[in-house]
Amino acid sequence: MRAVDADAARVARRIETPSVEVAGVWKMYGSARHREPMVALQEVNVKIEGGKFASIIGPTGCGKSTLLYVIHGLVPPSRGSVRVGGMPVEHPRDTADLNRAVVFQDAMLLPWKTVAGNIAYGLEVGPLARKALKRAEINDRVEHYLRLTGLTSFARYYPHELSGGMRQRVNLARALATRPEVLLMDEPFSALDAQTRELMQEELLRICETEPRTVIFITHDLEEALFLSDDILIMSCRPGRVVEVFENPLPRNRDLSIKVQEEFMRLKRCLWSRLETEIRESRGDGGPDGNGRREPE
Amino acid sequence: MGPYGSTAGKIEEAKAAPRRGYLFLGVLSLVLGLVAWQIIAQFTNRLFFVGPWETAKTFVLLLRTGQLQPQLWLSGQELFYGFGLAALIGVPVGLAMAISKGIEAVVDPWASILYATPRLALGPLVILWLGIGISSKVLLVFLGAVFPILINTYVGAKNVDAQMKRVAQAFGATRREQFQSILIPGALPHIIAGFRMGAIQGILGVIVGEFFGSRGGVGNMIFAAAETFDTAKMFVGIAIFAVTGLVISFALQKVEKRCAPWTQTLPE
Repeated sequence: MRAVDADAARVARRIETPSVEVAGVWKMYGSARHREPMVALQEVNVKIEGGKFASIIGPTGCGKSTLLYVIHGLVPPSRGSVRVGGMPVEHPRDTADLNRAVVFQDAMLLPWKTVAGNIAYGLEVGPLARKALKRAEINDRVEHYLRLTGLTSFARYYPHELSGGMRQRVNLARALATRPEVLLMDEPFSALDAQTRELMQEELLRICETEPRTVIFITHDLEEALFLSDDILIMSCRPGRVVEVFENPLPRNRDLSIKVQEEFMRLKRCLWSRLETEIRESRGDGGPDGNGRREPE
Repeated sequence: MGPYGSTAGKIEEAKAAPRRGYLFLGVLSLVLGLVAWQIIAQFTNRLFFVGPWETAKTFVLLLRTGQLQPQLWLSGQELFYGFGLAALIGVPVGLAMAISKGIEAVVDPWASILYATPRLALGPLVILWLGIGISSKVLLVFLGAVFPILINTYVGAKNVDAQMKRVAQAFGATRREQFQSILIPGALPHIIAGFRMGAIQGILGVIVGEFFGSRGGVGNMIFAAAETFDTAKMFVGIAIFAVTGLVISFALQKVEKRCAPWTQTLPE
């Protein structure tokens, strides 16, 4: 394990942790059926300090993913701007130094590539491919992130041979291998079973400790948000706005046992009561929730 | 290996046993079929029906006397050139249709019309145009093979998961890189399936072409033998086509398994 730590320290030193600044961002989608454009994001203003772990929570369909992809640059905002480390973001294709990577909701691995091949993918296309990394350098990185995500013995496996949890680790490793300064995670654990999810959360925290970076993490799960984040952004629905930034008072270096502590429960209730209003509003009925949404007891 | 390792091993064994059993069943069915064929042949007029043994003997005889080789060579060439041409044109055009709406709009109606046209009906026309040399057969093989290949390639590339393209875009892949790293490998299993269907259609093209006009070939041999009631020779010709189709189909299935391991059934 010592070799891993030394290796990780060496990698970490080279990763900057830029701030993310979203200023006056609007996103409208035109639609053939409706004359009015759909407003997905309305005047979003947020600043996430460098090196912070920020979660975004909010009702379903409130534009969380849209915001994430706007920050990434894949989706251009209709109005406003996004700056990462003070630099305006551009489409990843046009970014010479791509410093952002996405961990997708569904693992979305390439089925014809092995685990190792998938992890290397981000280095073989796009701006990073044009940096002409040596094959040895790519292999080094792949090996490093295989180790960091505990996948070393599965390097030659194909995605269809892996469990859902392992696929998400590959998904994470693929993003990490590009050494992003900003890691954007789109509900990466939502499809996993509860136990696997908890373990993955802990693992993600550990990885973020060894390699600090700015993380933006979308989730529906309040416990997940509280457990992982420094800041929790609460979004309202249709049009999506960031209505509150909740600063998590829990100290860092958490482990799973914190989830049963009094303070954690209290914060969760507090967070829920804040979110509940938004969800009820978005449902437009204010009545009891009938679709099986997970609610804290 | 966890505490369940040994159990897992046992399950594997238990699964392997019936699999071997089914293989045995398949072979048994084949052998019984051949035996039945032979028995029926014993009780029928040799002028109309010959058994597997007679067919095999005739096959060897035709090889010995050197009658079969030129026919095999000619039909083989017809199939090879026609199919090769179909692959060379079908795959790029299919891919082009998948990535360009314009090309799709231009080619799609023609591909649909020609695919729906029974290409066997074109046989006499093609012979009329190109004569009884090899080129008319090559064209018929081509016409048979090109549409299954083209349409499979097109559908395969078109259906490559849009999310997969999004992954590529998120990593900043250019259109060219998306094409190479997502579209081609994603469409590959469909392309190979298209080859398989195309090859079968191509064999039909050989037979039809040689029926309508040819100086030789295995199909021609069958029709010539029919006119002289040389039934055993006909059976040899039919068997050759059947085995060719089988071998090509089987080989391409192997290739597909190689190129696209994920389309196979999941390992337990």
